[in-house]
Amino acid sequence: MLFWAMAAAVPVIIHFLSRRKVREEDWAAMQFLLAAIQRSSRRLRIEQLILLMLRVTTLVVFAVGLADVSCQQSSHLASSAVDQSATHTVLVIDNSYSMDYRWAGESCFERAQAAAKSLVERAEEGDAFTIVTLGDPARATIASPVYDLGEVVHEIRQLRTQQRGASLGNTLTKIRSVLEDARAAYPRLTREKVFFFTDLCRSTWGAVTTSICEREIQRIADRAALVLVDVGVADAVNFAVTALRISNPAAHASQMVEFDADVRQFGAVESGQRTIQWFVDDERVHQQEVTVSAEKDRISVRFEHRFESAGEHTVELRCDDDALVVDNHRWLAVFLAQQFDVLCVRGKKNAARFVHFALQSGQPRIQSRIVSELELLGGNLDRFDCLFLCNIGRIGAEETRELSNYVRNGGGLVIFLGDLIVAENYNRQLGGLENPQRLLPAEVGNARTAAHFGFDPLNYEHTIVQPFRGNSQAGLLTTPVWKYFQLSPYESDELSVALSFVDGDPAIVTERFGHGRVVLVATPASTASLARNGDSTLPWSGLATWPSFPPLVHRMLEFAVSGHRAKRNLEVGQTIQVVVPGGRTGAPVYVTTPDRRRVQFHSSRSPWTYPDTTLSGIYRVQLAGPAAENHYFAANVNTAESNTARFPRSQLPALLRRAEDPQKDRGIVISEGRTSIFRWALGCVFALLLVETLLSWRFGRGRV
Amino acid sequence: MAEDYQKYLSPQTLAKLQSLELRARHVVEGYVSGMHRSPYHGFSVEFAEHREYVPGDDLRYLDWKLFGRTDKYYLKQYEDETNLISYLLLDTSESMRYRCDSSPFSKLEYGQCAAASLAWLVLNQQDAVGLATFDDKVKSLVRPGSNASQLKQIIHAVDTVTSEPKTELGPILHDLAERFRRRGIVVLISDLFDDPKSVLAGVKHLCHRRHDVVVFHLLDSAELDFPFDGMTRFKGMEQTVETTADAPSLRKAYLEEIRRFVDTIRSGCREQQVDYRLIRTDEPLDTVLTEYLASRSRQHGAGV
Repeated sequence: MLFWAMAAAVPVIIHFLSRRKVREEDWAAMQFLLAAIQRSSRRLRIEQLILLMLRVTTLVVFAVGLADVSCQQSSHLASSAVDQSATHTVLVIDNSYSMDYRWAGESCFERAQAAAKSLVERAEEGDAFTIVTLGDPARATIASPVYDLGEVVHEIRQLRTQQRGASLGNTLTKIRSVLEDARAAYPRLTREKVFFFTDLCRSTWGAVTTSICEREIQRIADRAALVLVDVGVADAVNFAVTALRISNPAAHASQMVEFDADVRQFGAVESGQRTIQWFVDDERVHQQEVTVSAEKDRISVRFEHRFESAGEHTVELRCDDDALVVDNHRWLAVFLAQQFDVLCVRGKKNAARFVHFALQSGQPRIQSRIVSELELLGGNLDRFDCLFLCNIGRIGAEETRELSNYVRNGGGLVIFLGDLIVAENYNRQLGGLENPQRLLPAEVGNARTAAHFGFDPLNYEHTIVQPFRGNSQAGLLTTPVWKYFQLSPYESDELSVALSFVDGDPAIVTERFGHGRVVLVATPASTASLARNGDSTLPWSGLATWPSFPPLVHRMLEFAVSGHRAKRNLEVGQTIQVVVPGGRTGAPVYVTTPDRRRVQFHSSRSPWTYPDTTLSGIYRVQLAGPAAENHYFAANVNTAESNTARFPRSQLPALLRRAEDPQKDRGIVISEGRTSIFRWALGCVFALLLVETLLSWRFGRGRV
Repeated sequence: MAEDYQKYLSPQTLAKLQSLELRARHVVEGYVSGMHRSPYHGFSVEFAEHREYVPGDDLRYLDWKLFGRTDKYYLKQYEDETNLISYLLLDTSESMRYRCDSSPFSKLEYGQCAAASLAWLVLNQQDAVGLATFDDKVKSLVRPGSNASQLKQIIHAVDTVTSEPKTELGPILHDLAERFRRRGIVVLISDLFDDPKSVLAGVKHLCHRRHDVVVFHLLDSAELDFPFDGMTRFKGMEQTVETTADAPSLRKAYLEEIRRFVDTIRSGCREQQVDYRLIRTDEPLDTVLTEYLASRSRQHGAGV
C-alpha cells in the first residue's frame, strides 16, 4: 500500500503542468513587473517550496496512514478498524507427555483442547489468536494473530502431545516474543490475554519461581492479562519405568547379561500387584509380578538373559497400562561385541606391558596389542573399542584432534600418567575448559613424592571400583604409590572421581565427552617410571604389580567402552549419530521409527545424524551397502514428567493467580493512550491541508 | 477626413467641452487680443534673442550674419504678441498601444482622442495649438496655429502615428523644451514609462521655460490593478524581455512598484506646480476633460 506514496508526485506534476498552462500578455509596464519579480523572487521561491513540501508531505503522511492500515490483513481491516478493543489472545497449551494422563475417559490434553476451542468460539468480532505450545522446545504453532476462528480451532485440533517434558522458561520467552511481534504488526489489537492450559505438573511449573521465569512473567503481565486454566487431575497416580540399565556394559554374546530397572509409582501409592514383562528383540522372554506399597514406591527389578548371538539387540520392559501409558515402557539398545579390540600405546619401553597382560588375563574376547606412541597416528582408531595411553610424554596437535574425534564418536580412552609426562603439554593440548578438544577430566599438576600413599575408594560408588566393595583382600587399598601427579578436576557435570588418595588428591578421574568416556589415572601403569628418593630409586607406583590391577584395568575398559553403548540409548529428542565407514558416504540410510515407518535418507557425511526422535521406542538404522549394517537406538522419555505431583496453585506468582475463569477477564487494555498510526496520519493530513490552504491564501490572493 | 473627425472627436465629448475653456495660469507680458497675451518669444517684430538651431527649425529665421561671423547656426527670435499657445505632446511609443481586455481604448487611442479634443477646444476659443508626437524621438511637429485648417493638420498628425519602442522620455522633453520658445500651455499625454527622475527633469525643463505644463498620465486599468490570474507570460512591448510568473503572487509587489512610480511622478509634478492628472483608460474621456478643466478653472479663477 505504500504505492500510494507515489501520489506524492501529483503536486509536482501539477506544479509543472501549471507552469505550462500560462496565458500570454503583451505588457507595457515591464519595468515595474521586473522590479516586482526581482523584489519577490526569493520570497516566491520559498513560498512555492513551502507549498510544494506541504502538499508532498500531506500525501506521504496519508500514504503512511494507508500503509499502516494495510499492513494488517486486509480482510479484517474493517473490523479491526472499527473495534478498537479487539483482543489478541495467546493460547498456551501444555503438550508435555504428562498431559496424556487420562481421567474419566478424557486426557488432560483433550480437556485443554476443548477449553481452548470453547474460548475461541466465544471470541468477539475482531479478536485474534496465536498458539504457543508449552513444551521443550516451545513452539508457536500460530505465531501471528489469526482472525479466522475456524483456522484457530483447526490448529488446536491438530495439536498433539510430545513425549517430552516442558521448558517453562523457553515458553515464556516465546510468548513474550509472539506478543511483541503482534504489537508491532497489529496495532489495533489493543488488548492482550495469555491463557495457559496446563496440568500444573511440578516438573514443568517448578521452574516458575526461578528468577528467569519470574522476570518473564512480569514482563508479559505488564501488558497482558494472564489466565491459568488448570486441566490437571488432583491426586493422580502414575506407574512408570524410570530406568533400565545393563549391569555389564561390556557384556558379550554367550555371557549371561544382567539388566536392572527402576519402577516407580507416583502420587497416592496404592498397594497392589503389578505385572512387568521383559521383551528381548520384540519377543516376550520374562514376566514377573511386583508388589507396590505405600512404604515402597520405588522398586528395582532384575532380569538375566543370555543372548544367542553377538551384535545388535533390543530389550524392552513393559508394565501394565495405566492412566499415563507413555512411561510404562522403556527400551534398551544392546550391542554385544564379539570381542573388544584394545590398543595400548606406550611412551617408553614396558610402559604398557602390564596393561596388556592385565587385559589378556583370562579374557580371550579382548584383543590387545601394544604399539609405540609413534604409531598412534598410523592407523584408523575407529577400529578399536578402547585406547590405553601409557606414559606418553607429549601429545601433538594432530594426535589431539584424532583422539578428540575418536572419543566423541564413542571411543574409550584410558590415560596412565608417568615419569615422561610433560604436564604443561597435556594441559595445553588436552586440557582447558575452553578447549573444544578437551579430553582431560582434570588439570595435571606437579608430580608429588611422599613416603607412602594409600587409596580412598570413596565408598566404592564409582562403577570402576564397585567390584572391590567388600573385597578388601583384592589389595586395592594397599596399593603402594610413591609418586603421582596432582590432578585438579574441572568443573563438569559429566565428571566424577572414581578413586582418590588418602590425602584427598584424585587418583582416578573419569568424564564423558560426547559419546565416549575418558579415564585419567594419576600414576603409571608400569614400574618403568622411576622416582629418586634420596639415594634409592623407586618406581612411582606398585599398582601395575598389585593384585588389584587386572580387575581394575578390566573395569576401566568396561567403563570406557560403555560410552559407545550409551550413545545407543537416548532420550526422546536427542539426535542419533551413526559413523559412516569410509567409502560408504552417500549410501542410502534407512530409518525404521518406533511407529514402523521406514524413511530413506542419504548419508551425506559422517557422522550421519537423525534428529527426529520424537517418539519413544527403538529406531533401527540401516546403512545400505554390500554388507548392510544395522544399528539400533533406543529413545526413552525423560521420566521427570512422569511425576504426577502438581505445583501448588498457592505458590504460583500472584500474576498467574489473578484470574482462573477464562470467561471473566476480557484482558488488559495495553494501549489506552496509544492511537494507531492511521489515526495520527489522518489528523496530520487534515492539519496539513488546513495549513496548506491558509498558506496558499496568504501567499496568493489572500494578500491583495 | 470626415472619418478622422468622428474617430477622435466624439460629439458627446465636444458637447461637454463646448462650454469650457483652457486657460493659462499666468499671463506674463501684455494683453493684445483674445483672452491671452502670450509671454513667449516668437518670430515677429521685436528681436528678443538668439537660439541655437536644431533640426526641424524653419530656416527662414536663421541668422546668416551671425553664421558668417561665427560659423554657428543661430535663429533669431522675436518677441511676439499672440493668443494662448498650447502645445500638445502625445506619446506614441509602443507601450502606449497596450490595452487590456476590459479597456475600451488603448492608451494611445485614448491620448489621440484627448489631444484632438483639446485641440478642438483651444481652436474653438480662438487660441493657437500645436502638436508634437514622439516615441524614441520627435516624430511629427505641427506648429502652433489658430487658423481653420489647424485642427485638420493636428488630426492628421495624430492619425498617422507610427510607434517605436521608447528609449527615454526625459531627453525628448528636453528637446521639445528647447524647441518651444514661445511660452504656452504644454499638455503632456503619456504613460511616462521611463525613469521618473528623467521624466521629471524634462518636465522641469519645460517649467524652466516658463511653460504652463499639464501632465495627463495615461495608464491602463490593468496596469493599475494587475488583475491577472494564474501563470502568465508577460512579453515586453518596448523591451525584448519576457517573463513567466504567477501573477497573483506578484500582484502585491507590482502594485507597490506602480504606486511608487505614480507617487513619484505626482509629487515631482506638485513640486514644480505642474498640473498632474492620472487617467485610467476606462474612464470616459469627456468626464476626465470636463472635470479637469472645471477644476482648473476653479483653482485659478476665470480670466487669470
